[in-house]
Amino acid sequence: MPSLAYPVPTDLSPATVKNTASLFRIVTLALISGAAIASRLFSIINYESVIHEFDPWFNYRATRVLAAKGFYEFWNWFDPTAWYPLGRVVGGTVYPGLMATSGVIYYILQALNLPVDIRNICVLLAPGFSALTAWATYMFTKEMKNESAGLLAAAFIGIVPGYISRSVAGSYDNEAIAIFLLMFTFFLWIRALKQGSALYGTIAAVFYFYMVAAWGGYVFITNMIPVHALVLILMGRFSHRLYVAYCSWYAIGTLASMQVPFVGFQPVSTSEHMGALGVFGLLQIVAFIELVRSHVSSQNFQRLLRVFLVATGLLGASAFVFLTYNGKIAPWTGRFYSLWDTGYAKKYIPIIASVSEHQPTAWPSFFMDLQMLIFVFPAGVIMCFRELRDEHLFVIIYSVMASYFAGVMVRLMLTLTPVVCVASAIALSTLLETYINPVEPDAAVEVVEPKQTNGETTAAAAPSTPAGKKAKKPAAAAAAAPTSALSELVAVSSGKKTASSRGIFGLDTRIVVVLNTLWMLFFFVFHCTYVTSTAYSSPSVVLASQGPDGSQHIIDDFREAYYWLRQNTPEDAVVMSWWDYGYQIAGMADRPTLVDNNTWNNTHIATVGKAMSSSEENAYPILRKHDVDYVLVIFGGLIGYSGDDINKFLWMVRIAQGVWPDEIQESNYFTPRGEYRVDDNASKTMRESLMYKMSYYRFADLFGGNQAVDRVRNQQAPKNIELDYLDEAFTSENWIVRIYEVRKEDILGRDLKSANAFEKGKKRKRSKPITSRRRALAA
Amino acid sequence: MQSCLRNGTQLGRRRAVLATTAIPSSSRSITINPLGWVREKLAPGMAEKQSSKEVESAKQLARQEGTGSVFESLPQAVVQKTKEAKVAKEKPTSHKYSTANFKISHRKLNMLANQITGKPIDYAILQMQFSEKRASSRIMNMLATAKDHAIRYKKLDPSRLASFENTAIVRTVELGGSVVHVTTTYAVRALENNAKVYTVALSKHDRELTSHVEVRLKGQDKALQFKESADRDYSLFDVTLPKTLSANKTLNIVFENIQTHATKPWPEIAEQGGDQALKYTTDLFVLSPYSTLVQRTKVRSLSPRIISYTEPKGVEVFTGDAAATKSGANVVYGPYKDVPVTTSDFIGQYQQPVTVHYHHDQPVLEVRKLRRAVEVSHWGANINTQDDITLHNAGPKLKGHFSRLEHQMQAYMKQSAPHVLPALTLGLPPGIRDVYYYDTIGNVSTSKLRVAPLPPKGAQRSQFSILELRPRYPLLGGWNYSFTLGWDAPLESAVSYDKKTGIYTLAVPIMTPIPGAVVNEEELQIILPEGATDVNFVTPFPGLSAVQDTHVTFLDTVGRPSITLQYKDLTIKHAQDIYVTYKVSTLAHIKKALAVATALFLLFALGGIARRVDLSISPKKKVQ
Repeated sequence: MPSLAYPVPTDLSPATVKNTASLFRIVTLALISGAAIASRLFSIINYESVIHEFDPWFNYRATRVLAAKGFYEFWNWFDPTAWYPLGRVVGGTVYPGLMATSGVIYYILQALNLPVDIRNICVLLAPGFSALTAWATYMFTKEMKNESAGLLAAAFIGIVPGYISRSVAGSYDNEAIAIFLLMFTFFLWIRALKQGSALYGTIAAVFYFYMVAAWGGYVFITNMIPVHALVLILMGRFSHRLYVAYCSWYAIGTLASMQVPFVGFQPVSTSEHMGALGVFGLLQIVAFIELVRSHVSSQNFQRLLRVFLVATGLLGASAFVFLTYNGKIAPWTGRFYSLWDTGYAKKYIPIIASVSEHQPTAWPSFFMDLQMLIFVFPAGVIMCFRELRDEHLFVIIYSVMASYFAGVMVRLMLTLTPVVCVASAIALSTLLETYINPVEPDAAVEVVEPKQTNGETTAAAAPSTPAGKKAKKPAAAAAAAPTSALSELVAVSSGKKTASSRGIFGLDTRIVVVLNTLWMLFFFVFHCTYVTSTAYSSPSVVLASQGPDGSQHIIDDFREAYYWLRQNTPEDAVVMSWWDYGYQIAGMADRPTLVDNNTWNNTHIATVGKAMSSSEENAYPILRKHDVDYVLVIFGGLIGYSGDDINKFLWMVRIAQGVWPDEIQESNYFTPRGEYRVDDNASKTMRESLMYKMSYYRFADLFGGNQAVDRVRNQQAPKNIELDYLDEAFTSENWIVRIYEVRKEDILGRDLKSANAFEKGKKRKRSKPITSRRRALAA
Repeated sequence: MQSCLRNGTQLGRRRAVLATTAIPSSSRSITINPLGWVREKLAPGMAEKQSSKEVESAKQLARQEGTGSVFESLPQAVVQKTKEAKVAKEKPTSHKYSTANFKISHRKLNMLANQITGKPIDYAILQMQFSEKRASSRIMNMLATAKDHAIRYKKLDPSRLASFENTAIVRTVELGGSVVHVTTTYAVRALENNAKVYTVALSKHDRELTSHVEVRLKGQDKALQFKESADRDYSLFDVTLPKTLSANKTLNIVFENIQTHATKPWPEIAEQGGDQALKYTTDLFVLSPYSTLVQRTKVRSLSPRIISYTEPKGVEVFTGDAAATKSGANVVYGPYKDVPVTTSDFIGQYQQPVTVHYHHDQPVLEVRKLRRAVEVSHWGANINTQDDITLHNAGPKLKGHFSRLEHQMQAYMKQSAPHVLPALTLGLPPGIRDVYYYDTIGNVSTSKLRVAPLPPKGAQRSQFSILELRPRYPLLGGWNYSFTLGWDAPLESAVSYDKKTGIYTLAVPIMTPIPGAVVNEEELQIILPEGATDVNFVTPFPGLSAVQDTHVTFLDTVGRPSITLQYKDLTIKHAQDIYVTYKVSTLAHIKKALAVATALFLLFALGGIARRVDLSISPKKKVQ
């Protein structure tokens, strides 16, 4: 019997301990799910149940079509209002998993006579799936270490801002369900690998298919699992379990994924998927070699192996090069290149670089999104190295790859977050288990006066506070530890012998370390809540400002203008705007748009960019040729909304320049000193551009006689801007959205500029006819 | 002498206002007394007695004789009867009576005929009784016999033979935006005893504009019953007086009708800061089947800025000085004295449209479609009301485009243009909670609500909860805005329960009035609790259609009974309650809870079974 740092009850049967622990786990998981959902509801409480940002509006619109017309209509949906006049084959160009999920939930609720609005389903889908993600992470981490670590990991993933940023209520995007699918596929893969189970491999393939149908990021799984398998083979850890798991996953998963129209034959024809295919082939070879080895003597086998490996290697590589060269295998896409060279996109594909979430991650955002986990994360990875079972290799590979990608692109922070949670949970649970374990090492002679309080309070506090929740599992384990019957349980769960030569002496050390850890955990919760509520819960469709008395004032200009368009313009009126607002216009205003956030046609976007950056005379033919009725611009100069079109203007210029380098040059939009200005010093091209004119049209008049100031750029706003080819049709309350109607051709056949001049002041017009009359008289 | 008596003078006049066909066309009753309607249908009227053929032939005869009726409204019947020598009494659509050979000079007879032409039968008899002419006694006898025959043989209604005279008609038109309020006061004098039914006439055009009619005695609140019958050009309202009038007694009858869509913006477009002017057109003379001593029409606008009004032409016969005068916000047509029965001749000669063109300082609002759903929940002790409203500014269309700058300037200078609607104020019921206001793309955060407390039981509802509701954008002329407004109210505020009979009585307002707006179409759905039986409802005025149906929602097993009513052209006068009675048994109350509990129990039972069944082929072996 080893000495104990504090007394523990001895009269508990193993069954009681097991059942109690199981109950605690269920309750804790339920509470974690509750916390995960609740912390995502800030946006609903602070604002309302509304779809956020840009892409979710398309998903929402597509879901409505799915819910209203059924799946086959959705599958064949051709949307003539997007990318006017080209249209868009929506069914074949979306990942339908998200819409299908909402649609199924909607139909089930309808069947139960629960009339829940489809919008509310869409809004609450992401929080709902975050609870599932917590559960999937629990299962995954349980495979890595034990239930305690699993619960910690579940709690982390439930509230960590890096994941919340993409899954708050209303953020109805593919990532909302994709992270759950990612973690659950990984869990199933690990399970399949551990058990060598074809069943789990198949289930993994099914979830992989779901993932393919839901998110373009499925490529991450497509490469993670083969890399894991490859590393196992290279480390000489090939086993039949690996063979069964991988082959069942790959064969079924690939065939299933090809059923998604948007993916089609990509799994056998693009470079991103070649790794999985290669490893699949390699596995066959290795399995064959294993078979041969068991039948052939070792000397012959060595020779045979060498020849064989060289031959297949050469053959495979040359086949790959040949196919790529012939165009059978598509070369890497631009987005893929930009993963390796962060400057690539800026040079060659401005449209990718113009998206803020494709920018490299800034260092502070790691801390903001992960807080203390980012420090504990390496420790967790090291813990994995200490044991280095097959599944630990997976975590290590995942950590390395995701860390790199997260550094390259902001949005890939999302894929890093789960592994950070898992690794941190492993590290922290090891720490807590070590320090809560009451067993003292053999060398210990002194017996510390035991105080019951430590373990008890932790256990008592556990279910109530989120911080306690994480510490709870170890506490339960600790409570279960000491008696002879339970010591085995402790030993199994903490992976230690009941009495070892190393360990922790005394209660004070334990208290200091445990309290410190608890304090960190508590502060983590505080940080997560704070970041979530302030940074990640704004719908961006609705803005909020605070009045001088602290009251919230809602700035709802976007919806005001979109709703105006919806209610008071003809239904087929074509609206031109920069592509950022395409989905919102389609979703809220229900009007055809030229370009939208599905940036598949660079030339079309460049056309819009050209129209915006050209002078009125040059832009007008473009507008008329595209049947544009209204032009919509975002202008934040009045209330200081910095995400407006003038600030994005250079990207329009760059993208237009990419297609028409002769007509649009970026340098023309700067002052001679190379500054980007909007006041009187702005370059002539800038001042004449359509975007500039539309933004500042009559803006200075608002200030009466005073100096007009653009509050975003803190520069003087220009005066006396005249528009000849457009009419102001609507301006929202805070001037954020301005809509202009494109004039029709003059009925007398004049160009609109002179027609306008004639109507306004007759001075210029008068002088001309007089001269011509004189000329006529003279002649 | 040959004399023809129509179905009493009153009916004769009535025909004058009506079209010429003698068959009363299908009458559209807008009273809620179905018995009266049935009785009218079954009552032996002249329609049953006279075929249209007979009538036609009689008319033909009269035309040949050149004795077309004064009351004939056929345009060809232009012959002036007073010039005719032979006939003392007008000829028939109803009853015709002639004396035996009557030897008298036509000049002498004409004198007498002029005296009584166009007068009610009893009045004519009275005149003849006191006439000093020799022939008068014989004419009187003839008239009396004719009257008697008409009643006895043709079963004509003696009360209908009773008749009136209007000592004065005052019509007041209160101009508004989409709703115009017309009040006509008839100062009535009975010309004979037993006068019971007074007839008010409206032209077809007026009837089409009219969405609400109310008749009462002046100074009293109680509405009088009336029966409506329509013909090609006219609608007649037969008002049943509270008690019979004896001869020479007087009564003031107030006839109120609310006209919708009666005005139109002129000019049809207006600039953002411009004025809003409307045009209202009505007929100069009030139609009446009785002769009128004095008649005048007052057109009152809300603002004194009246741009123009029509000066009536050719009415010098009736008026001493000016035919129309304007003072301040009022335009007065009349007084016109001694206006005869408004026959088609009269209409052809004197009736004319008059138009008033005036400034209106409030936006002209129209609710194009209102969909109200009222859902009663006994479990939640809650009654939910939800309105889907499509609002339209029917004022002059915006000329050019909307300039926010100008709008903000106007707001700053406090000179908002009259056709711009920045906000609405609605009076919602007291004691409501969870008020929501959203549109297709989400919540509209620009509204303020002051909830009035629920008054104690039995107290008169006096206060409204005030909702200041701002559309997303100011509503300019010609613009639309659709939104949804809903709220919850405690069940006891609308439902009462009778313990003895077990009947719940629910009061549902047909609409929440939007000030000054007309509701073009309404669909009202009342959803009762699941399992409600014995559903009956009473409407204050009938809708276009009423359908009882089943509505399935929120975990229902069999669905809830629902009533769907359609209405059109509603105004503030229509904001009345519909009463619905129903019973709900205790079993129906707990049905849902039972269903849900059973379903959950089955689910857990299945889960429990699934967990305990082992389907594996080989016993589990431990892996790694």
